[in-house]
Amino acid sequence: MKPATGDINRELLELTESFANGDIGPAEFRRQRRELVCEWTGEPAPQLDQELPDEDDTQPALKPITDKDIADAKPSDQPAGAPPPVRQSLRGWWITAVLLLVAAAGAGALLWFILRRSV
Amino acid sequence: MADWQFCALTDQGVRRKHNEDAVVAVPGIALWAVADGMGGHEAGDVASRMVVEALGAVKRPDNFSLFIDSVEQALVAVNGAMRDHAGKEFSGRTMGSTVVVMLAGPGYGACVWAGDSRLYRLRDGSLEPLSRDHSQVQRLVDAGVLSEQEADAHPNANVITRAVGGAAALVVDVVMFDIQSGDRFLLCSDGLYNELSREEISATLAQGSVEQCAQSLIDQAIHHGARDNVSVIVIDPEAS
Repeated sequence: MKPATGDINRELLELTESFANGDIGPAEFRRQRRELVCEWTGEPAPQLDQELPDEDDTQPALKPITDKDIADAKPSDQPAGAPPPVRQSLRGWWITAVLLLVAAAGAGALLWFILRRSV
Repeated sequence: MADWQFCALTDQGVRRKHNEDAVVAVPGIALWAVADGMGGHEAGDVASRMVVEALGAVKRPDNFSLFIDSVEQALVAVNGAMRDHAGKEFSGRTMGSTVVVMLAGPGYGACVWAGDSRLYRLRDGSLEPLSRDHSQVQRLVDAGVLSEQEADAHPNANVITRAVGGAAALVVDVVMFDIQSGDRFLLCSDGLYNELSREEISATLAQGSVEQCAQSLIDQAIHHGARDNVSVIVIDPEAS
C-alpha cells in the first residue's frame, strides 16, 4: 500500500537530517531515499551495478570504476618505481644548457661593455 | 504523462542594480527551477547562473528516484565548483545561491531545495507551501516560538541556513507531492513573497493563463516596491 504523502515526507526529512548530522553515509542515505521514493511512486527500486562509496560525497557525479574498466585497461610496460622516461630527463638538460648559454652571453656582454669604456 | 503549460519570468525589481535571480525550465524532462544568488558585485549573478546551467544539463533517468539523485548530484557538483570559483575570482568572498526545483512524474512530483526560494501548490483555491524555508525564522516557527505571520515580519526573515555554495558539503531537502488535474504550481524567489501576502498570491494564481498569472505576480511585486529581484515560474499540468 502506498504510504501517505505526509508520512513519506516526514521520513524523507528525517532521513536527510540523519545524513546532515553524519549519522549515515551518503551511499546509505541515497539507497534509503530511493527505496522510500519508489515505494511511494510504485516504481521498482533501481538495481544499481555498484553503490558509490561513502567517502566520495564531494564528487558524486564521478562514474564508478567497474571490473570491466579494469579488464580493459592496458598494462603498462613501465615497472613500478622505475626512473622517469628519458624524455623528461632530457628536458631537464636542455633547460640547464639554455640557462648556461644565457649566463655566458650576459657575462660576455658585460665584459665587452667594460672593455669598450676603458679603451 | 501530462503536457505542461508554464511561464517563467524574472525581474530585477525596483531597488536592485542587478538581477541575481535566475530561472530554468526544461519541460522535456519536467524540471523547473528558481535560483536566487547572493554575494553582490556579480558574485550573486554568477552563482545563480551556475545553478541553473547545471540543472539545465541534467539528464532524466527512467526511474524517478534516480532523477532526484541526478538533480542532487548536479547541485552537489555546482556547490564545489562555486566554492572554488569564489576562492579564485572573488577573493574568497561568500558566494551562494538558493535553489528550489520542481520535478514531475505521472501524477506526482518532487521538490528539491536549499534555502528560502519556494514551491507552492494551488489546489481548490487553497495555496499550500510544499517547500519549507531553510531559515532561522522557520526554525523558530517549527519550534512553535513564532507564528507564520510573525515570521514574515521578523527582522531575521532573510537569514538563511542553507544554500548552494554556503558550505563545503551541500545537503538538499526533498519532499514528494501528488499532482491532480486543476492543480497549479508556483516556484518563486523571496522577492515575490516578501512583497505579496499569501492571499494576494493565491488570488492571482487562481485566475488566468500561466502567462497572465506570472506577469501579474511580477507586476504586483513591482507595484509594492520590489525591494529585491523577483522570479516566478507558474506551471499547469494538463492531462493529454
